[in-house]
Amino acid sequence: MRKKQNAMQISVEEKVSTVERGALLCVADAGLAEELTRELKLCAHVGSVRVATNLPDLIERMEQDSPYVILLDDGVFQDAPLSELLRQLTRTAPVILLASAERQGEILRMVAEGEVEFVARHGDFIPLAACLVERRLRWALRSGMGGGSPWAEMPEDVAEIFRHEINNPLTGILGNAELLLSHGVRLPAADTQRLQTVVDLAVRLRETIRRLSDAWDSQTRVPKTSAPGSASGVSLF
Amino acid sequence: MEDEPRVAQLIVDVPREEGHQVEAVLESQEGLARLSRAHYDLVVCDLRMPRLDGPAFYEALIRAASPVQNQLSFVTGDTLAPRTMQFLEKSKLPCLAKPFLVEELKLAVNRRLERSRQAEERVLASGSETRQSK
Repeated sequence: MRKKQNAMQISVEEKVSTVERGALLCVADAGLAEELTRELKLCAHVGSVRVATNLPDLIERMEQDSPYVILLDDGVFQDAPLSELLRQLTRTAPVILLASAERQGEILRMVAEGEVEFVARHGDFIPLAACLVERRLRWALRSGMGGGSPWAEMPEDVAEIFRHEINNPLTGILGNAELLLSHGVRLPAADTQRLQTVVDLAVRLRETIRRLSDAWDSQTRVPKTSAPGSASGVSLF
Repeated sequence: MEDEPRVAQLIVDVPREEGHQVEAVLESQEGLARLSRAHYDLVVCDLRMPRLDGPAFYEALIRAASPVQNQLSFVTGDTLAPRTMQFLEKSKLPCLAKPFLVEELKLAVNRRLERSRQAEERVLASGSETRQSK
């Protein structure tokens, strides 16, 4: 089994299909597949939902349907080398992996790269899995392409303006509020607290922008070999 | 050198409170003119400036063989722009990403000034050794 999966090469070419594209669930347990399908049908942005019960079936359906997103239950492959399998599947569509919590460490890098999401099979996980599938489908419909995040489709110059026009004003907001606080100006305690809130929220916004920028960068660029740093705080002084 | 006046004022205020003498210009052409008239230990320049941007300003310093080319540091709101990344990678010049914390700016300025001071001392020491050997 392992050998067969190692040797498996998945290559799905883009093709024009009359089949409605949507989500492809690869779930061994028929009851779970039914519950997921039912939950997905409640969502607003879901097109077709198809089910494969094993890997050969999944590959066949991928070729036929070119899904926007794949939900993969690790019950269908058990001991297979997870990262290699995911790498091959994500050439066709982003993957939402449904697995025991212990497996999450194996895919951290792929989650960071944005092509894989993880749902721990614990508690009431079905609504979360359905939400993630719906989100990917929404992105796919918005971009008119694969299930990548919307900022992956943002023109580069727009992204530059976006970063520039947020980061510059935020520099003034954050720096001036910090300076006022550091001066120990005689302000009523409530006003000092308000100023501290401005600083805290500005810092939070800064981190959000950097995370978004990093995510956008990782999805739109070829890997960097010796870039001067990520968006998250280049400081080579 | 920062074209946004309120950001420029902040970049002036922080090192000034540390006891440094600081001047600001809102145009890089004016910056070049001042550099030709006076000595500065450190130049902090926004990478994205109208007309003469950071990389062009750096090129101008190199063409003029200005010693300030080694005392230059950048700030930018966009470290991800391809041309920014290429320029920083090639020039090896330091850059601080906006928005920065006050402490980050203080640290950046003090480190850069310390490096300039050490470089200056090395030049003086080598000059002194040369004179002694003669």
